[in-house]
Amino acid sequence: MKKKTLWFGILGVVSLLIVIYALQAGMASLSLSDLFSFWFGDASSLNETSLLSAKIFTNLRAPRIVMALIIGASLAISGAVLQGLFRNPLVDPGLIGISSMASMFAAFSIVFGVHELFSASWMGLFAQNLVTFIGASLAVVLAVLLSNRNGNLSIMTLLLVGIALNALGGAVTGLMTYLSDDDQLRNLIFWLMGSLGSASWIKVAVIGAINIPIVLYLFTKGKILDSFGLGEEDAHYIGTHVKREKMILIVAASLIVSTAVSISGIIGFVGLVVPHIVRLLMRKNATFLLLNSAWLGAVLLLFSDTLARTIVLPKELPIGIITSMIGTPIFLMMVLRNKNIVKS
Amino acid sequence: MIALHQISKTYGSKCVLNPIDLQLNSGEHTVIMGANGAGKSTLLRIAAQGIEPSSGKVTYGITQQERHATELSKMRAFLSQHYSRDLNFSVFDLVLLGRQPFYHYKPSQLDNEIVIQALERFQLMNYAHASVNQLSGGELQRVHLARVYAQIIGNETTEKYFFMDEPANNLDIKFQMELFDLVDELLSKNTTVVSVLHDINMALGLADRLLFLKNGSIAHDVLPQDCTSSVLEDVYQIPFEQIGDLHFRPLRSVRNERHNQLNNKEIFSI
Repeated sequence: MKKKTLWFGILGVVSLLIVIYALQAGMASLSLSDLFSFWFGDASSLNETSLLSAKIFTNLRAPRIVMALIIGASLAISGAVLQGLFRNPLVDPGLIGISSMASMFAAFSIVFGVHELFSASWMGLFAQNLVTFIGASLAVVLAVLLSNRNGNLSIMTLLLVGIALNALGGAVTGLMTYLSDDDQLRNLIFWLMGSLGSASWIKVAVIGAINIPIVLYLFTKGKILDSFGLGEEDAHYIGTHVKREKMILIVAASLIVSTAVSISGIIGFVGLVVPHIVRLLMRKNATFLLLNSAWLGAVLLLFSDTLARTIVLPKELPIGIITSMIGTPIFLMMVLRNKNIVKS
Repeated sequence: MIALHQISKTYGSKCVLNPIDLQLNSGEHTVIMGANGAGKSTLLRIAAQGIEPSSGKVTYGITQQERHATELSKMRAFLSQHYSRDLNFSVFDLVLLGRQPFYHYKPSQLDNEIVIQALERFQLMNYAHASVNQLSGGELQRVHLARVYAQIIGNETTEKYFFMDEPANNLDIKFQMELFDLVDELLSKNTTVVSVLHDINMALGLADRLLFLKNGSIAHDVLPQDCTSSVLEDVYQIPFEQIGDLHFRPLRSVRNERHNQLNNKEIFSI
């Protein structure tokens, strides 16, 4: 009990510090009073710099922070769900082909300018995201359809289909990279390594409307995931609707990753590593794992994004580089400290 | 009481169970026996509704109802022989899984009390907070025994079903006896108990009824006292001799020949 309280305390304080740091870090520095007069008072009293800073904060930085929290939580909880369901700690959301099919579509759309077709209408703003989302969803639909045996999903087939989709996605993305010009390549790289640079309140609203309810719903599935720990047949003996729950969990976990990928590009490692960190810190039931994975994933991604946009000012780094660089050493350290966790 | 109506099972083109009609009575321990691949586990799992039969249906109770999985999980428990140790659970949490049919999101006080009762009964209290992946094979089996106990014991329905697939394999003799005590306790409460066992003499001692499967059909359906060497010889295709009441021993022809040869040599050397 004591250990648990301590862990919540530390995580809470660290999260708060990271959010505060993220709120104030960046090129445009501003004071709280400027911000309040921009929001509630008369903006005309502000000088030009303060006004610009307040606008940057309100329209760029704040939505980006919220976006980082939502996407981080989505990726991490999705990893936790899929690892539990597949009873395999090496599963991450990319494994069933979501990321590679998404990148295939994104690369295609970047290089051939598919999104420009829509540029005239309001769709132009979302075209790239939409095309990517279609790619990600296609992967989910294909994986589920091909591994379906009388309504029961075969986990092994699902993984094999994932491998095939990954190979296809990798090949087409490679071809697109080869065909792209310099600008497109730069765009592509930012996409393949992830970036939250395109965050806006509208996109936050869209992804929030889809992902937040699903993440909250997944929090209620801890009991089900615990039962899957016994294997599918024994889960059935203790009253779990194996077929139905498997389908629901796979679709829900994939959907929140698809929306995340279509907005931020591919952000590796969060879905794989965060659940592991939670597990290694404390051995508890799946509800605990889900809640804390979401929390830690949100905070970790916010931290990574804040580094990504401040570390090489005035430029910014792709966020995937940061998540991998932070994640790998933490992960290795914990694995070495708990060798018996990975036996068999 | 469980009734199987024209149950059959095929995997691909391989027929594992031919159509079977069978009634398993409450308050009775039915032991399924047979050679490898005879369809014992398949029959057991179909009766427990762990797998679906290719044809036919399974009904429960005197009223012969088809039971929904959720409903059934409150009155039926299943103990297998192999469980993965690769789990990130504490012993307590694993036993608590047995209470899942009885709570919605959060286990009640009663659920926790029953888990503690189960841990005490199988002398696992000292391990309660240990990780499952640190246990030995026998200890792990005991934890699952406690889990199944927590599932079957708590609910005071009149109708209960208990299934075991080679449950005694990893248990030492003391906990085998604990398991059999539990079975007796359940039988006295009119539970329907069905198990698959390999040890003939153990089965003869425990069963109220023996079902011998051969190539996916019930070859013999006998009371333990009616089991003879000829039944066993038919099922296992090796000779048996009866050595006392309800006790049989397989005869090993190769060993006997070797013994004879050795004896002959000794005679010659003299």
